[in-house]
Amino acid sequence: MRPWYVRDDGVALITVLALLTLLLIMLGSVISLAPTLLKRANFETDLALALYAAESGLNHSLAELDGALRAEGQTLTNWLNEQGGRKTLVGDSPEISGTYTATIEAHPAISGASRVISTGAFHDRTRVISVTVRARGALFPEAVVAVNPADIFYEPNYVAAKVRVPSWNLGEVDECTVESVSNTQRIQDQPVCEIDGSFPSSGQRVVIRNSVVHIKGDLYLASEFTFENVTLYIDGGVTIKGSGSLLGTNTLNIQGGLNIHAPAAFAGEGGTLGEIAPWNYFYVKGSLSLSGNAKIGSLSPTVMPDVLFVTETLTTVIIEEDPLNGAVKCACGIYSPARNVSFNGNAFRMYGAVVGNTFNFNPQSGYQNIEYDAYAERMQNVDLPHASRVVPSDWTEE
Amino acid sequence: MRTRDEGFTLVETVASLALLGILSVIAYGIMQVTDQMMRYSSRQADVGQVTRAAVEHIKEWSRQELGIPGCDGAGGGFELPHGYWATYDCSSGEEGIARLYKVDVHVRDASPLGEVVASHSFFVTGGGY
Repeated sequence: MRPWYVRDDGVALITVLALLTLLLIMLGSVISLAPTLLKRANFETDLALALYAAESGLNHSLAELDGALRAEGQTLTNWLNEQGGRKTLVGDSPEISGTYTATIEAHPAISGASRVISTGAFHDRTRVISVTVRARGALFPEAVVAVNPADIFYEPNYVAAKVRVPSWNLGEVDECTVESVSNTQRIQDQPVCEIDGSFPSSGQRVVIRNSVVHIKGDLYLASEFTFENVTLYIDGGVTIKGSGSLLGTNTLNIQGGLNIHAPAAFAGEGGTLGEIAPWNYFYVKGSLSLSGNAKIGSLSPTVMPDVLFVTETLTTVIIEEDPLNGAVKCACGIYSPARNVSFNGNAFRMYGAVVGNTFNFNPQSGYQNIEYDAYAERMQNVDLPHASRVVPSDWTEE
Repeated sequence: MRTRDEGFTLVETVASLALLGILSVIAYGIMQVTDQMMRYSSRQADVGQVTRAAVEHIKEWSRQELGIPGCDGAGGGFELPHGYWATYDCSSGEEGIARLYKVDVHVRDASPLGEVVASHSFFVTGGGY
């Protein structure tokens, strides 16, 4: 018999077993990879959905807080005291996906501020986020308020509302029915309609009542005009040179700029209704320019601000004298917390208040006058439908 | 029968081939299952990715469009990567709380009927904040 180390009996079995082992290892690797990938995919998705649940809790808290402050004109501290110093919201399915627990409590380090901590959960994943919240007080607490600390009108305790001109996509709507009567373009009682281009086509008088109108061009009010309870969405700019009446509440959402110059003269019902008169809102995305001898807001029979200009971040605000036509008179509020406001020229008179990021007053001679005290209560009570009472920081993950 | 240099007997050869055959069949089956699992994992990863993309899209939409109280009836649809697409609709979030809106989003695959592969609901507050 040959020695064992030169015999080859059973070598095939060893070879096959070795191959089998190798194959099984490779197979095992592949098999273990698939569940790992699946777990990873589900893990990442669950983490993201847990974050969205936490954000839902945050939004729920902010909305509830805003409603409470808006309804009762409260401060954060008072509201929290009523809640026992802390308020907890719990949300779960099926209202939203996942669950959340959000707690509002006094901020441990910042006086007058609160902190919202929201824990979101989806399956067995959790995410915790928090924001610092401040309550906004009156929009116009003083005649002139600068949001930027570098300005002499800076108010340290002032909390500006974040404002933006809403974009609009009204979808497919009918064309407006415009009646032409003795040089007047009239639109009445149309729930939502659109005008495909600028309006009016020439310098006619304009009357719009009880309608929502999308103007897919510019609005040019060179002659008399009357708006009564209208909402306008204007894709272009607006120029006002004519005289007009604003009845009820009117809102102009302007994608372009707003230029008001002599001999413009228009007002709401402040002159007759006084403190209870509705406001008229001009939301302006482009630049805002008031110039010449323009008369804006109720100056007769009594002076009462009833027009509010609200501008978005990327706009400039210029109020200036026109040497040929005189200066602006404005019974109004100008809310432009992110931009510089310039007053140029002489004899400007404002009845109301203005909020800007910074200010330039450039009188050449004469005076620039902002009268606030007689209208303080009205200016302190004005509010913007689009702006919240609570101003949160960006959220951070705990 | 075995010659001096032959490593395989006939029995060994047959047994080995049979064993390899059986193992190959098993391996093929396992590979098929694994392939399905890999496809499923990949699909789940895609669904997760497009769901996140859909939610981010809608959050941006809410920031842009929901400045005005009330959004009942608002909604729409948009395309997503990998042939997926999404539909969404908005409603008042909770009774008594203004400015809180609930958005339901349904992510659909590229099949002709657009089968819903993921649904998600969340609260937004609009651009006023």
